[in-house]
Amino acid sequence: MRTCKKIIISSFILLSVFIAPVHYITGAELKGGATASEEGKLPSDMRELLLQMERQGSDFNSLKTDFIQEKNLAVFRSKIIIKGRIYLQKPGTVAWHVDEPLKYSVLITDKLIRQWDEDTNQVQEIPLSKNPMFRVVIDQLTAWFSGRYVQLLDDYAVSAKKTHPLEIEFIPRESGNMKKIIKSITVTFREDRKYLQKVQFDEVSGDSTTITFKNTIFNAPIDSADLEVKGRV
Amino acid sequence: MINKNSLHMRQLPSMLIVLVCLYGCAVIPFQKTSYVPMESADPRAVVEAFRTNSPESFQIMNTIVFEYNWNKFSGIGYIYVDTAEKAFRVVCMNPMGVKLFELSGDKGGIVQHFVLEQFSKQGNFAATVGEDIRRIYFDLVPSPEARVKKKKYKIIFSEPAGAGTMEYIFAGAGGYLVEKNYYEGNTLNWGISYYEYQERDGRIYPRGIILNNKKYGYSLTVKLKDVQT
Repeated sequence: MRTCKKIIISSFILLSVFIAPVHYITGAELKGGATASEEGKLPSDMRELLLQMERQGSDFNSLKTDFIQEKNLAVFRSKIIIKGRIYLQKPGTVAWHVDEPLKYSVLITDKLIRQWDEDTNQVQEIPLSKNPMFRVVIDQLTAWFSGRYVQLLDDYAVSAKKTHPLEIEFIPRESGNMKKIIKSITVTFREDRKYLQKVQFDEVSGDSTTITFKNTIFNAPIDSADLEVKGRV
Repeated sequence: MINKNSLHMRQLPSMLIVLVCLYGCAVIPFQKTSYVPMESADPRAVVEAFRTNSPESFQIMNTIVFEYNWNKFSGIGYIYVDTAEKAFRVVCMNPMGVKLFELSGDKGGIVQHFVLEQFSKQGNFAATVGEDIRRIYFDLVPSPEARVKKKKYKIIFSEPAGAGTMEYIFAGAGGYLVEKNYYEGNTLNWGISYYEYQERDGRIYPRGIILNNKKYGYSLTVKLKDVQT
C-alpha cells in the first residue's frame, strides 16, 4: 500500500508537468516519410510544406494567446472546458496559465519546469538537466507552440487535409508508444498561416480534445509577471 | 559561550510544537460546520431526511488535491455515481487536461479502463482509488441497527463494519452527515469530513470533502466545481 502511494506521488510529479504532447515520446529512429497530400494545390512533399509554415510563422519573437480546451470524454455526456492563456517567448519559453476550472500555471524554459496551482498553493520546480525524459517532452511541446513543425516528422506521418484554412493531420507512427493512445492530431492554421487556430487530439479511447486559440497577439511585450507561476490574477 | 548542544536542546521543544501544529493544524479550505443544538432532534428522522435530500445518482466535476509526506498534487476529477447500484465511473486529469486514469466500479468489482503506465507499475492503484471513492460517496447513512449517541451539537451513530467500527456524525443546521470515521480497535483508520452542503435541483451536495487516511498517511481534498444534472 505504501509503495502504491509512493508511486502515485512520483507519478503526479511526472504527470503534473505533462500536457498532451507527453504522450508523443517515441523512438526517434523513424525519419521523414510524409504521406502524399490529398489536394492538388498542396505541395506533394510535406517537409516542404512544413518548412513553408515554419517560415511563415517565424516573424515573431513573442506571442500571447487565449485558449479554450474542450475535452470530450467518451464515457460522459458533457464536455470539460478548460480556459486559459499561453505566453510564448522564443527561443524556448512557454508559460501556460489555466484560469478555469482551477487556476494553474506552468512555466517551461530550456532549463526548468516550474508549476503552481491554487488548490495546493505550492510552487514546484523541476530542473531539466537531471531529467532527460522531460527534455524530450519539452522539445516536442515547444515544437508545437513555437512552430518547429519539421522536427515532428520524426514521430508522425503527416498529410494535408484542407487548404482553406490549412489543415494538417499528424498520425503517430506505428512503432511509437503514442500510437497506443493517440489516433491522430489535426492542426488547423489561421488564414494568414502565421500560427495555430485549432489543434484536435483524437484518442484511441474515443476521447477527443480540441484546443482553440483566440485573441492571438504577435510580438506583444511579455511582462515578467506573465512568466510568473504564483500569485497571478 | 553557549554550548551548541544545549542550544539545540532548548530549540527542540519549540521545533516539535511547530511540527505538530503544522501536521495537526492543516488548513481546511472550507467553512467549518456551524453547530446548532441537536438535543431535540429525532436521530432516525435526521438520517431519513439526509437520505431523502441526497442524490441517488449524480455526475459532478471536482478538483482534487492529493497530499502525502508534505507533497501536494492536484487534478481535475469527473465522476458519475449511482448510489443505489453502488456503481461509479471516474476520470481524473491533470490541470492541463491530460487524462491520468479512468476507472469504473460496481458491486462486482473495479475495472481499470485507462491508467497511465507510471500509475500502474506497482501496487494496486485501481483498488486503492476505487476504495476511496466508495468510502466517500457510498454508504453515507447508518443502518437502523446502529447504536445512537446524542450529544448537544451532534448525533453519533456507530455500528460494526468489517474488522472495525463505522461512525457517522450528523450535525449543523441541516442535520447533515459531517463526518464518517472508521476505527479498528480504538485507532482511527480513516476519516472523511463533509463541508458546506449546497442544494442543487432539490438535492444536497457537499462543496468540500476531506478524506484522511491515517493508516497510510495521506489525504484527499475534494472541491466540488460543477454538478451535471
